[in-house]
Amino acid sequence: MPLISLYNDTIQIDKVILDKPLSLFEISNSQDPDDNSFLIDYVLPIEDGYNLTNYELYTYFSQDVSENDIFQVYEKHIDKRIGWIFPITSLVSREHSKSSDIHFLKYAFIAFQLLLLDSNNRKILEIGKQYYLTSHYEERSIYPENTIVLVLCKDCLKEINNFEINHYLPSLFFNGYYYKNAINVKKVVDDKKNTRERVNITKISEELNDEQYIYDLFQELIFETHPFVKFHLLYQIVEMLIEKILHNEIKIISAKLKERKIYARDFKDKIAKFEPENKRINKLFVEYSRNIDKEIINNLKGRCNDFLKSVNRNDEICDNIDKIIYSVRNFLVHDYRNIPKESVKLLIELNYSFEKLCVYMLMNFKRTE
Amino acid sequence: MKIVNKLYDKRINAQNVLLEMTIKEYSDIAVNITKDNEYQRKRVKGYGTVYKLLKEDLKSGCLIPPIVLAIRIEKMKNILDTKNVKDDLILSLIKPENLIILDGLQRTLTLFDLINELIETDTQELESLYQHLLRIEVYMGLNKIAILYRMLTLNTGQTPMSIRHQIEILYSDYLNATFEGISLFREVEDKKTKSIGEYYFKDVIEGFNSYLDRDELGINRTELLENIQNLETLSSENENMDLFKEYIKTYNSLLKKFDELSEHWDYRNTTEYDKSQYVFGNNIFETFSKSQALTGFGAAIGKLKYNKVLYGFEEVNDLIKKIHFADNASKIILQLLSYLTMIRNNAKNIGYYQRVYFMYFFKELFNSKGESFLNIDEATKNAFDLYTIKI
Repeated sequence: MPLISLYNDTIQIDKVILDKPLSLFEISNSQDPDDNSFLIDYVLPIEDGYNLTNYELYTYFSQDVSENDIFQVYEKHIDKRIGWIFPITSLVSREHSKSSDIHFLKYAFIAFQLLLLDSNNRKILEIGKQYYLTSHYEERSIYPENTIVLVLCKDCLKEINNFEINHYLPSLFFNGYYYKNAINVKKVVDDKKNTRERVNITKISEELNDEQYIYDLFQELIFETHPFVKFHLLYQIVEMLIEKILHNEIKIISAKLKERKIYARDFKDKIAKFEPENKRINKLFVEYSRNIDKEIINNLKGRCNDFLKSVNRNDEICDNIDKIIYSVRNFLVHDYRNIPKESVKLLIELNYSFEKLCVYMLMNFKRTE
Repeated sequence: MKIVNKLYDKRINAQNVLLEMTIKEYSDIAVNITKDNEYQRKRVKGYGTVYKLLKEDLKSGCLIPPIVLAIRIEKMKNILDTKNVKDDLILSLIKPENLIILDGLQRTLTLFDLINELIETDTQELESLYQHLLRIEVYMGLNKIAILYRMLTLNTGQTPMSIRHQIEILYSDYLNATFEGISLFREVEDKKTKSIGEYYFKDVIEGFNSYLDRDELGINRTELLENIQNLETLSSENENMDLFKEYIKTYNSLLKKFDELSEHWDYRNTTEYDKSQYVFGNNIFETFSKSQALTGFGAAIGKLKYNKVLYGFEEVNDLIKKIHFADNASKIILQLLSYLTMIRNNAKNIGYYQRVYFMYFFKELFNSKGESFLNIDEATKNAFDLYTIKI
């Protein structure tokens, strides 16, 4: 919750009371002996009567979202609406297209209150000054203007097995919603945003749920600015997945050996076929992440080839994504010290494409039998 | 009741009188304080532990911090020099109908609550309570601006009203102003403005404020004190009122001119009309009566005046007679509306960026040193180019 600044201390906002006739909220601390409070205007039509405890709120950031980018959130696997996602600026304005939509207004009203009570917000409010939920003036805003609000209905989440919002971090990232308020993120160009009504979010493959690195990456590491470091941080996803492939393939072959479908000598030959890193990367794209959008792969291919050309690795340019991403990786590991300056820009662009590929791999990774 | 001390507040030019009185005397004079007090509109307030404690403390005779009241200037019986007013005259002014409360409303309400409880339960304790003493400060003869200023700067931890409320109070005199063919409405009156001449009060105030500030950001600036200081820089209340009237009359003339030149253009009568499509406004009035346009106009004229390109609204009125469409009016108006739609679809903050566009539009239209001077077509297009560069 935002904090109230007292003489030598701070106390948390834990009480939010609606004054419906005046359309504002009075926020305060219920134990404050001086009964300090702040009044925050609510400009949208009020759609109340819903229990806040039935909803969950998460905040993210975006660098390029419009006030009108208000979407219903659908969970891809169950194909049902689970909530809404919208910029915080849509809660302090009636100018956008949803200002009369009662479904949005219900979530907006809930979100406004949950935001005022959010324990993650550590903004300090000084007594005697006036504040807005968000505004052009950072010092008087409880939240920055580029905050994105995600509100989910708990009842809807019951249909999802072991729902955990972090499982959707890569998907949210892909849609331009970031865990951290960073400036070095690629603007999501979405030509269809003015006509679409929803955002689909997909969780990562269940087999990856326990991989802490995924959460570390999308909460912090992916905002790394140095392109060399960033590539390696992203490449760790490839390393992680091909390690799983190794274990899985060994498991499959061991089972066949046990069932006498193959013999000891075949066992050794088969291992040799997939043990090398480049072979497992090939398996990753061909067998284990088959549903990746071709456009994303082609885009990354193009960027990789441009990069390899710029660093005079023309003989490594080809049409196989697994080969060329491996070639890029090798160049950076062994030869980064010789990289021409103009190639660094290409590496930055390559990383943006690589991010997208990583997201898709995480969502589509599936062990084969 | 007795006067203990008198000090002069040089910032707001008012005498501050410190009085000592019994709770009984206070309850007699404060009887109207909670009623019809535009400055302290009723708020939802919890009556929890804090107020229970306060009641117990009051019963035991604790001394609460001074409650601050004011006597409105219009109740001062034409006394001009409050520094030298005699004590008996001061005391004669301390009457329920003259007083408003600046600080201490909750303490007052708690006190009344306690009195009402004791009337029912324990008259002996009530009599004892009535004899306890209070310190009361009274400012003699404050005008609206000074009242608001003092309330904002007392800084006791209580925020008596939201910014929106404060703006309404500050400009409430203008709400009652009537002038040729122009009416102002509060949004709470729930009247959908229908024709040229009818405006939402808040939107006009925002526009006027933008003229004073030379800034299209609008009245959501956080420092309301700057608004107060703006009004104070206009040397007299009459001057404020005249300038405000000039602003809205000029704007209204401009809208009438647009409407006349476009032959009462209405989107719904065009071949392009599509009911399902969003449009900023269906006709000249709907489009230009919104706060974004009013604010853009105010900011533009303010900036042009500041840069000595224009001398004032009189000059703007002359220029209005000369504005024109170079091309087909419908085509240009549709273009302007499409720009506003584009902004709506893409802007981080729709209202603000639409204000920016309108500011550029009016500035281009009335800038005699610019390429679009008096040419609505050019102003429409060039404003969007300038807007695009800015963002």
